[in-house]
Amino acid sequence: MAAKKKKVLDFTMQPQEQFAWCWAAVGTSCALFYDPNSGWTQCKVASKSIVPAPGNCCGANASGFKCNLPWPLLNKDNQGSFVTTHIPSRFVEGAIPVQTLIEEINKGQLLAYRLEIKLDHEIDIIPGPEEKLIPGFWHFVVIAGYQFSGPVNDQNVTVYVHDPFSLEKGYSTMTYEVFQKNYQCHGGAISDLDNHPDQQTNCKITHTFFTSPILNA
Amino acid sequence: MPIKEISAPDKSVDIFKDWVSKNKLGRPRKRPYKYEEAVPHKVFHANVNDIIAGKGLENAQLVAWRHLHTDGKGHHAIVEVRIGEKEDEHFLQETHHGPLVIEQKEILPQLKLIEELEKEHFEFCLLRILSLKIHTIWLRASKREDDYFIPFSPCFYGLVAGKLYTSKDFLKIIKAAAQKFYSQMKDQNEDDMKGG
Repeated sequence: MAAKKKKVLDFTMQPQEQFAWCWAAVGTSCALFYDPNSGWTQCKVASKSIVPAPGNCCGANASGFKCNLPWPLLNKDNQGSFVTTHIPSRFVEGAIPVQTLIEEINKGQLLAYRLEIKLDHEIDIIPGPEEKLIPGFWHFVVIAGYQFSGPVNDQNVTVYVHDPFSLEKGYSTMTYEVFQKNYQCHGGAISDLDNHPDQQTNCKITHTFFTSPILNA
Repeated sequence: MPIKEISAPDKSVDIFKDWVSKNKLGRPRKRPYKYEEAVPHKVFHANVNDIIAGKGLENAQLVAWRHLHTDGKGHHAIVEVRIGEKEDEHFLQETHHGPLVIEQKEILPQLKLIEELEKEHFEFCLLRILSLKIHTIWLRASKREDDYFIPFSPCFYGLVAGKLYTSKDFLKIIKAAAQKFYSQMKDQNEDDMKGG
């Protein structure tokens, strides 16, 4: 009989409040998961994370150019929403093995991911010397659960993905393989990935972030 | 009836039914789903360059089919079936769970009551532009300029969730959104570890 296992953490992702605040939504939601009384809100996290200090990002300033910015969860300079909210965290480049993902979820620990999604075509709206092509963008999501029946591999393990944009207070499930290479249909076909891995670069995981409960929470 | 009742490809329907069966959400069923039960609809992605260039959504790409699932036990899900590189290839992509599932289902009968939509038949579709954080019902008319849009939350750039937009008004807003996206992204690089 095939092995079956499922573990889903009781995690709620807040919808991002500004179009560039996926990092603030992920930081806030993770902080509230580990410490529901922490009191963090996305605008408080933005106010305290962005450098140079943007002032108060709550209220009318939230959508302004000083506050509504892409920002890290955690970077090499120890900046980002995980630092602000005191979530002990570390990152590795790329995706982690599915077995490691399962171990982290089993410990009750969320995993955050930075996705790089290429645009279908580069943006080239400003002609002339200042023109800069934009090949894609980056987005943060969280995995808070898994389930499988049978062998443990990327094709067989379903993950529970919480995206601060795509579903309000909901989640999506997909195989770990689809999550890594084809998130929200941005990766193209993956049916023959073994033979043509070079064709599958439209969506990838640039970093995985390990998290653990907030100390002194 | 302002909404065309369309059918998804057989392979997509089979994948949907297989998912329902494997996840044991309700009793396995042999009879076909009625349109208003599964509301099969297309998912499109749009080209940001086209939007900025004022070309609208003529070249939007069909990437998937979606099917809504609801059963008597209160399970709700949207099953998304991706179209492969060959048009007849279909793969289970992902399933979505949460309040949005019910919201999408409930919106269909409400569309019948909207006066603006009485003038012709529309195809109920979804438009997703993840780079611009736009996720909207796309009511496709026979001509693109006659389309309507109803965005889902969270909404930005002044778009209002649940509001009906004409094609002209919607494209004007998302063109500004694309330009804002460009100005924000042009100073970013792969190594700064930012995301938005």
